[in-house]
Amino acid sequence: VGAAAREAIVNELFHTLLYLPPQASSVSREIDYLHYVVIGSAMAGAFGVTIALVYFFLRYRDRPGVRRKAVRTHESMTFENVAAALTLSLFLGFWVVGFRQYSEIRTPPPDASRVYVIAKQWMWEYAYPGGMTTQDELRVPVGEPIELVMTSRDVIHSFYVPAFRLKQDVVPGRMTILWFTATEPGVYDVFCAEYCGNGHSRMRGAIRVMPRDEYARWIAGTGTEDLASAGERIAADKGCLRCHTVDGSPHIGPTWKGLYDAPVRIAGGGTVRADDAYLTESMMDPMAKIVDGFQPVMPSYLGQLSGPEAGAIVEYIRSLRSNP
Amino acid sequence: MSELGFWRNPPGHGFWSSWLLTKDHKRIGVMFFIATAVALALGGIFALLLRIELLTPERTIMGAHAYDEMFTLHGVVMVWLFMIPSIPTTFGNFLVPIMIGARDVAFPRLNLASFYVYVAGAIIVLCGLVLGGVDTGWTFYAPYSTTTPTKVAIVAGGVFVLGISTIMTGINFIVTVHTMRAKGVTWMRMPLFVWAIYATSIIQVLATPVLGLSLALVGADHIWNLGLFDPQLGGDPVLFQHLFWFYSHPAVYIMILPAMGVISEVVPTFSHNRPASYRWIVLSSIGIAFVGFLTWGHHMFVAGMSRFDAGMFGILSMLVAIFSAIKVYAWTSTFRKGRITFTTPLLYVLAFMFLFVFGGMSGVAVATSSLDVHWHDTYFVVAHFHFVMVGGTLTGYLAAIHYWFPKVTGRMYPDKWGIVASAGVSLGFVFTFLPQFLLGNAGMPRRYWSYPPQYQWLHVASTAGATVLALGMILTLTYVLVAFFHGPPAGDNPWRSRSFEWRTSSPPPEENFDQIPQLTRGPYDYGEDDA
Repeated sequence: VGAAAREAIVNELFHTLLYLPPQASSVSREIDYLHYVVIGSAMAGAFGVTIALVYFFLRYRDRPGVRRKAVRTHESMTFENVAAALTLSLFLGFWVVGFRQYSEIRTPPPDASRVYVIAKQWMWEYAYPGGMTTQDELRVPVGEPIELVMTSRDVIHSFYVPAFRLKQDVVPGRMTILWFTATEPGVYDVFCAEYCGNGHSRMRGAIRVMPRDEYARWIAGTGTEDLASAGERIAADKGCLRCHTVDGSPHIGPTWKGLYDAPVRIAGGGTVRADDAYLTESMMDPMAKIVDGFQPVMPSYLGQLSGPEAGAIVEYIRSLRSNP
Repeated sequence: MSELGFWRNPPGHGFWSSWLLTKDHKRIGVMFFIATAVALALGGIFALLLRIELLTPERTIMGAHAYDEMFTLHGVVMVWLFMIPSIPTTFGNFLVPIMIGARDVAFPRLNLASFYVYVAGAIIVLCGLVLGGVDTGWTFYAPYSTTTPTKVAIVAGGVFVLGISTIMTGINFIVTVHTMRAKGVTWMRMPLFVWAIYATSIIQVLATPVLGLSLALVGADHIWNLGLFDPQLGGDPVLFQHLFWFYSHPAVYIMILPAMGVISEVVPTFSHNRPASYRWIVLSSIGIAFVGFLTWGHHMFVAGMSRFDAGMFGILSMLVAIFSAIKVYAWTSTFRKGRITFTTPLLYVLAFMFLFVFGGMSGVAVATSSLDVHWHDTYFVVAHFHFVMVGGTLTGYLAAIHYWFPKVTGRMYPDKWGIVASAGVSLGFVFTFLPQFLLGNAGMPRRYWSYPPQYQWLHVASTAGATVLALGMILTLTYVLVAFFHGPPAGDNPWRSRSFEWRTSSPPPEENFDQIPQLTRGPYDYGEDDA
């Protein structure tokens, strides 16, 4: 068995025992190696002291009938001080390696491409170099350094990707930086790690690490997909589908199934037909005509959706109509 | 001398007036004990409700808002109503004057005032709970805390008042130790528990004003919208974190140093041996008290901090850890070649050592800056501070209860039940928090009301452990109460300890001694005429 294979086996063993998430960024493996050593030392220390104590408790227990003088007549800590000095060197070793890794995590390479991240209660928004934006799902290419430039609109949040072993607070009034190179395509959890109120535990998103060519096609916006499936993807990215279902069940907003061209009863009286004009108006100025029975809670997507994107969403809703 | 010692009402006083207006440090200690034990029970009930809620990934028994308020209360009550005051105001109050051969503390009236200020602070905090609760977490991070509509100002005000009580008690102990030592009790003959309380008091007096200041600013910001910590008004949210942790990191030593003091007393008594090094145990307490002030930034490695700062706070954190390591080595060596009697307090020492060493080393782990980036604000941190701070303080507190029970009451509890309960408490504690270390490794953030389903089995395991812990605590409460009223007489010195507090009768008389003792030896001189 070669050294690399041995290393892989040891890594797999500790990684599983310690219940760690996948190692999906360029730094996660080396951080895990330090983790194994530090936690291994902690275990050794705790069990070592406990075993020593139990041994002393048994070895030097006070036996009835056996008279023995306690022998310590003066204090000596020579052995203990040597142990303490060795312990300190161990801790300082952790510090040296840990600080070197920390510096690496905190220094983005100059060729990293930037994505701007805006956190707010309780969602993540991402703005990409080409002007594209997504919500809750961040898309990145595999193997390329990405620098996130982050700020918050309200309270402190924290951008945390367990699989990357990375986290950075997102602070209102400041820009903070997090950079990474994803090493494995896949979808990974993003958590808000800084308590931010009632919806904190719902402020979860994902990172989709895509093969480079797929990412390039997506970011250029010239996929081979048809307009309706583009609309479906955009509706998912922009968070539309969190409130609007496509299976006919009402949720926070009206369902999209069978909506296109159907008559809609408006709060305050009157009926409109859900045609292209009404659907577009509802995206850009949702308060204009609220559907009867729903709360006026939808945010405006004016400036959030480009013309072609809004058109694609209308096309998607059209594909869900009842009489095609 | 009365058999009941200080428990008997002085002539001419009724029961209530003799207790509520007492200036006797022992009676004030007993009153503090009752108050802080009630706080422990409350905090424990909140903890169990949290654990029950976390049994399922979505709603189990309460909604997100109730959960947010519950973890805030759990933290506030456990930190400020239990862990900070518990050992100093109860055992410190009861024992420090006796241990140094004094008839009372330096300022008996201030001591009683401190009790009532504590009660007032506790009532204000609980009013905040009744009037609608607070949902910021015990850390009150701005600008969430300055903008949430919950009762931040009331609860922060309550904690402010509690801080005044802490400062009063701290000043009292410092002056008592400096001025009230009997003849022969030189600095280097003081019992180690007194040293620990002394070091704690220094931190209390120096750090608590900063907490009061930061919470007053948050409260003012919340009420009047001053914008001190709100960037929209030109303030800085990270400034609050610096202020908060400048107090709250030393505060963890306020919680753990008294427990270390308890361990330093229990270990020599039950090993019938001198401490391996009195001097090193003392020096490390002082070292912790001072270096502990310089490490607060390790709570902020991912908050937005320069690399230089992160490096400095990292290395200072490694230095403060070494003082604890020295203590652990000294305690462990003390048992070597001793004459060990195995009792309930000693089992708590064993639990303390496991929890404290693993918890402390996990602290070294989170002080390692690159590892902290992954663990910060996850269950790993929750497990870490529960192991080292709560585990350390709680096992120290329970060791103190079992060690000094005969001293305070003159009665003895059933040691068999003590051992059963301490095994339950210790194992329950370990199995509550070991799964939480793994949850943190797996990336589960703290303060999550709902969570992805892959984390569920570890939460269920943790709740099971908490149930065992709770049963151990209930068992302890039961036999301690029974023994208090019906336990057999213990005798003046049931452990055959040579420490100073055992030289007076148990329970001690009203002014501690018939005659102030003249001490010609140290408190741990085992092995000379002690065959």
